[in-house]
Amino acid sequence: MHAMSQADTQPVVHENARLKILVVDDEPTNRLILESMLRREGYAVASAQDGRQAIEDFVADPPDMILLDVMMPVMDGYETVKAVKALAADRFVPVIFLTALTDDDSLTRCLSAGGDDFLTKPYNADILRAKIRAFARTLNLYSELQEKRRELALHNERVRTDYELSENVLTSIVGKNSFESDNIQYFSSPKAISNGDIVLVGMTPDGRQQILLGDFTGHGLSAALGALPVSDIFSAMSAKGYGIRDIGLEINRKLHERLPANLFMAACLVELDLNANRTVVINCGMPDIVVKPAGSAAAVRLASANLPLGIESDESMDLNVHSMSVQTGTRLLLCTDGILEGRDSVGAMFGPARIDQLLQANRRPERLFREICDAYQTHTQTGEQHDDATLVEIHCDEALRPKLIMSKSSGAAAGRSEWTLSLRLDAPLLRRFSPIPMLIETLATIDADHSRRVTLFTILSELYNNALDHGVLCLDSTVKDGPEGFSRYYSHRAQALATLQEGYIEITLSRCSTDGDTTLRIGVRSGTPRICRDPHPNVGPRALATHGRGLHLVRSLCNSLEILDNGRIVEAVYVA
Amino acid sequence: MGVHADFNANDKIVTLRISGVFDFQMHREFRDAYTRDAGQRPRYTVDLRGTTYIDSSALGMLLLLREHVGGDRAKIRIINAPQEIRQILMIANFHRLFDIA
Repeated sequence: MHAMSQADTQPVVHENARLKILVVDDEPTNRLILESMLRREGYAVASAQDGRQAIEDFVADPPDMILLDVMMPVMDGYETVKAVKALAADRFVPVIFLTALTDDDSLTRCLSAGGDDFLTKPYNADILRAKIRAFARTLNLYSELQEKRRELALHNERVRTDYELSENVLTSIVGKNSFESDNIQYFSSPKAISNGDIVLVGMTPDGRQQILLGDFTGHGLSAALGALPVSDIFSAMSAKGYGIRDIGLEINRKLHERLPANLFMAACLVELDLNANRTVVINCGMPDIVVKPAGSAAAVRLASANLPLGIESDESMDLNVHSMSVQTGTRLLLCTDGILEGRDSVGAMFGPARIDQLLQANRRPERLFREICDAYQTHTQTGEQHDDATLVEIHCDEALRPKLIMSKSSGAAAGRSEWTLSLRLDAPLLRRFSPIPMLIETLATIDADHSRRVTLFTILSELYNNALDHGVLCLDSTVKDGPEGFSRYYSHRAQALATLQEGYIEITLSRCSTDGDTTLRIGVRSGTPRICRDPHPNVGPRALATHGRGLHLVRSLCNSLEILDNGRIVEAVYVA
Repeated sequence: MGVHADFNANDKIVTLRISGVFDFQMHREFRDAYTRDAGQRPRYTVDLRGTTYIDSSALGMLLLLREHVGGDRAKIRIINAPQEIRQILMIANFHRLFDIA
């Protein structure tokens, strides 16, 4: 934005009030008559005797209007008006010629030279006054217009800056999250990312790959605002080993809480567990997800069975998932609706039928993705480009199968294990007693280090009870609230325990030394053939407030605490 | 092993002595102990001299006691906690809620 000089600004004037008029005439009498008339009307007046002086005056003290004689020495009216108009530039300074010449050619020349009107001498004072007033009204209009133009320019500047900012944010989110994954390919139309399509990929510690393809309502800044929490939640929960359904529920909760009602995100959520040959697919308001098995088997379409995320409140929210077994070689195709709605020059959409055709016609599966992209680009290049079109292919690749189930513990590397103690309790033993006191005594014996027994008891008993309550007995912690709740919960627990038939808990303790530090590794695993709806409800931040105190305490007492596979595996590291 | 309650009528203080393992198995006993003399509106002191181990349900029970006495207005003292148990209480930020001697 450049600074505006005095000459540039179009002042707002009321009809007569203090308009400044410059009178240019070589005849002193003429100047005098005009000056006094104008002053009587209430205008401010200046005068010049020839063109050159007029220009000097114009620069020194810009008038709002000029009354100009044609026949003058040194510089005549025609030259003067050209110069003045050039100097005025964007500003509108009306010039009224006062001329003795009455022939049509001269009069026309006045206007062609740049004059806005003329009056022939001897002129009618009433008419002159009326013309001046008319021009004053036009001046007002012009200055309003100038003001509006300035506001608009400012506004556009702001919008552009916001847009660039949101573009930066969005590209960094997608860029950071994705693509060291060899089994995933994705295609995006140029404006897809800044228009609210996001693709996120994560890998849990136990080797499940999780993918999110999201399509925000709203573009630019509103999409960026939504994408930030989605990306953070996704990365954090994926790294902690949550299931994809829990991730979807948490994202829904955050979007619903934080964003206005009209902002939401349609999404495809996919979890690939090649160790179990299983995939979980959740479609929230997106086009059908296509699952194409290897070989000649037909493709399966998984339609949307959920509202987009961010609409439903947490209480009523549940996610319908498709859980299916997959073999290596299967390919999943996810896309935003921009792909299906891409139009050609006559407005025909790309459409799902076209994708079916391409699936049928495809001979080499590794080329399928490329074939669809090429077909889409060919179809839409002549037509209106849809702003956000994204296509993702997930290939169930043998290479994804994890070698290890429990990887990544803090400081896992070169630890020399001094001793390891492993204990597995099945239902009959779980019913009868808690192994913790015995373990503490054993530790005291093996370790000859009595110093932290009390703390270890607290840690071990917390982890054991958590595993038992939630991983085996499948109890609901929320019952614990309040004094009545507390009693009720524990009698409930006693009952459930007394009748327990199936399930197990495995505790592993191991003393390691690394670089002179000795640490105690504690692992607790639980399992049951029953479906525990929420195996580890104490882990989320929401639970901490009411009844997740125990794990929170353990986390503070230990050097590290990791909860994997939705709570079925817990690993803690304790340094005395 | 268990909870022993002592009511000092002069000072109107109930002292709850915990010995052995302070865990959920003690919850009924603990609750009976602090509700018994509640009509007198006494102040409470929890004496942990004989406590060997605690787990997180013990923390829960202490919080229930606190709520019973009036929540934020309660002034409950915890005395004679063995070193490690005291540390655990501090790590759980219980010194913000209780007067830990």
